[in-house]
Amino acid sequence: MSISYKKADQPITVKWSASHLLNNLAIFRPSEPRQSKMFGISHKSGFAMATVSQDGTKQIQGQVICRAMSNNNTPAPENDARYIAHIVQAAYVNLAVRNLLVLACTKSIQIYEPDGTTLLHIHMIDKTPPSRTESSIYSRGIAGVGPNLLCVGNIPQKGSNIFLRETTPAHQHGISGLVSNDTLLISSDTTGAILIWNNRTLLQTNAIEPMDDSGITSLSLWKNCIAASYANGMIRFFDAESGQVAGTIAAHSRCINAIDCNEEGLVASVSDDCYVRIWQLSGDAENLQISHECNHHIENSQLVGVKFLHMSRSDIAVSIYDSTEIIVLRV
Amino acid sequence: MGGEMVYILDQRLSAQEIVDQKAAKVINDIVGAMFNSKFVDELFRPQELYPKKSVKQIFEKLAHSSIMRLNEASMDKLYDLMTMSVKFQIMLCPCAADIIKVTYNHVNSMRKLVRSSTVLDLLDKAFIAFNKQFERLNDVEWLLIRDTILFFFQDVHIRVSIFLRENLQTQQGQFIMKTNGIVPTGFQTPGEIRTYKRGRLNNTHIFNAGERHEPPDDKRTFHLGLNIYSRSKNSSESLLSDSAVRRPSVMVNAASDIEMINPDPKMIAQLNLLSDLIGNSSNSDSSRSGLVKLSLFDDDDDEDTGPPLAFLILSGCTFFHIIHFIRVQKHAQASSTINKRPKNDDITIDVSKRNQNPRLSHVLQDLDFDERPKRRGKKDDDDDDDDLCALMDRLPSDTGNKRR
Repeated sequence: MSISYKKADQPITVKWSASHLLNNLAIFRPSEPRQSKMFGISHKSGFAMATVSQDGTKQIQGQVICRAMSNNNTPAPENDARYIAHIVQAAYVNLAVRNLLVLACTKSIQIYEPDGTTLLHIHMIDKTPPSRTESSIYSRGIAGVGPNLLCVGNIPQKGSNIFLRETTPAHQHGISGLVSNDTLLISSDTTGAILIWNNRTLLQTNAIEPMDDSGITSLSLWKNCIAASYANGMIRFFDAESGQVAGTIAAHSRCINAIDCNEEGLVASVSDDCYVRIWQLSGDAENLQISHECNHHIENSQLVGVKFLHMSRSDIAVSIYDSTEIIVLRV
Repeated sequence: MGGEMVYILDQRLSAQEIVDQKAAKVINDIVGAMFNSKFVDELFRPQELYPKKSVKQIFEKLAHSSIMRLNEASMDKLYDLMTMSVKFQIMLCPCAADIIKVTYNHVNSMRKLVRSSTVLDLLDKAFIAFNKQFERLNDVEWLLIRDTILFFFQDVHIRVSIFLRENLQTQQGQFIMKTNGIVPTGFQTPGEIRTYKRGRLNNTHIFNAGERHEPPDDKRTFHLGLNIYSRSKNSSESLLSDSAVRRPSVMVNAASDIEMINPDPKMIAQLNLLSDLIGNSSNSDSSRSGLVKLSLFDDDDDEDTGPPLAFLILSGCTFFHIIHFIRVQKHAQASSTINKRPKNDDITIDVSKRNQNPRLSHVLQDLDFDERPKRRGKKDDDDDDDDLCALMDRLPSDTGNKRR
């Protein structure tokens, strides 16, 4: 095992503890090197974040609370139980035109400025299709919503003029992950099926059938290789063009809560079994090599989110259920 | 959580050597009330996660549905014990669908403690309904259910002496997670890496997972949800550690804190239904004078005078919880047809006809999970005792519940 991590001296603390959700760590990696990073975790109906300076010494905390919306799309009183929404997934989205914080909540999608100060748009999820309100977010400003809807938002450069552009029915079951790169959009669902779309035309190019009874909990992309983590502790890699399986790892003894890839082919996976494991991919989807790089055990902690701090280095940040600390692990 | 309640109740009843018949009656009444079919039907209705305050009030009502009496400090401890037990069970479930097994254990163990056949019927019916509702979920959907239940238990870190003794909890209140050993059904033991070329298996190698794992084994008994108190039936040790300090929970902004919100009017209706049901069932009870007093504390001698109110141990059944919480994600929010705001934002549990204790009703109004100070079961008011004695002698008449 060639990587071993040390906990950073200064943990990042946010105000609220992390809920036990999949992919519960959002990170804003600034495009300019001098800007600070932002880390955030979802807590029931709120999103707690910290803006951390370059050297890690200065931290500013902030919180965003999900707006409660009543049936006719007007704001509801904040403490009426019927309208409280929980956050299902939160993510910072880096678009070419601007950066956003997107909170996918039960019943709605709420879009904010990255520092959480301004609410730009709320999109209420249509209740007529099947009832589940799972949502996932990925980069590129496209949000997967509802059991089988895929929404595309048209985001202007400034101002709050965000509106829904298109809705495409896709999966038969709840969407559990969405990820994209320059050309492709990948979506997964709770039965384990994966759909591959062309980013520009939004037409489906391929479909991957479920491999076993387990659903997909998290998705990531490296080159043309799709990495999918499953609720039964497996990680599988697929070729995005042909749809064929490229590799499998029996990785964890509990459900995998999140995975993340960086540009160097490192894959990090976290699970309820208290482990972070790192894998190195090399080659490409047609001829993949996988090697195991690291096991890092965090005592008595159910890990719910992981993100690489930089796309070209192996430092990671990990979030823990019921804890207000985001652990930073450096090599 | 109701299952836990019944376990603790049973243990304390025998620890205090309550007359067997009365003890049995208490258990039967409580379980009967909990699984009353109308109430259970209500529970299965799709609805949002309940605020903590309301859940506690539901259990308080259940507590008063029998001849047992609770004192408020004991009730709090009981509720805390229930909460931590269920949190432990849900967190340590190897896979999310194991919540079914936990529920099964609860129902099964409750069956052993109940001695009336009508109540047994109710239990069975409820469990069958539960199974039907949830048998077709796949594992990621169960994850969402489990995650929603875990919202309810977030930030609760009470130390429980039985967990500390058995090395299941650290001194900071976190549960100890051991994840080696048998992997859950449907999982593979960590270690194998396979690569494929053009869809065909190319290479297999092993990595070191850092722990020893064994393949899944369906025949092993599932332990979470069983009655952990039945072993210590003969010991008179107190169930909560003496220094059970509630670690100050994180103060959450009122708007996002689920506990501080006004209840759904449908929920109020449900509680009213429950109190009606309880009112009806307790009407058929003849002996009011056979009130049973139970305490959760061993050190009752520092109570000044007066009988400590019996503590109804309310451990909700996991089953009970699941009904509420699962519905959050499984179904669309049932659109409320009630357009006006509910007039009574606080739900009053009416014990005033039986016990004129103003302090109790007042406390019930102000119940706030985050700000309660440490308590050790000492009573502040002396006039409580007069009321309690009066209570013991009086046969209350049960006519409809007053609601503010």
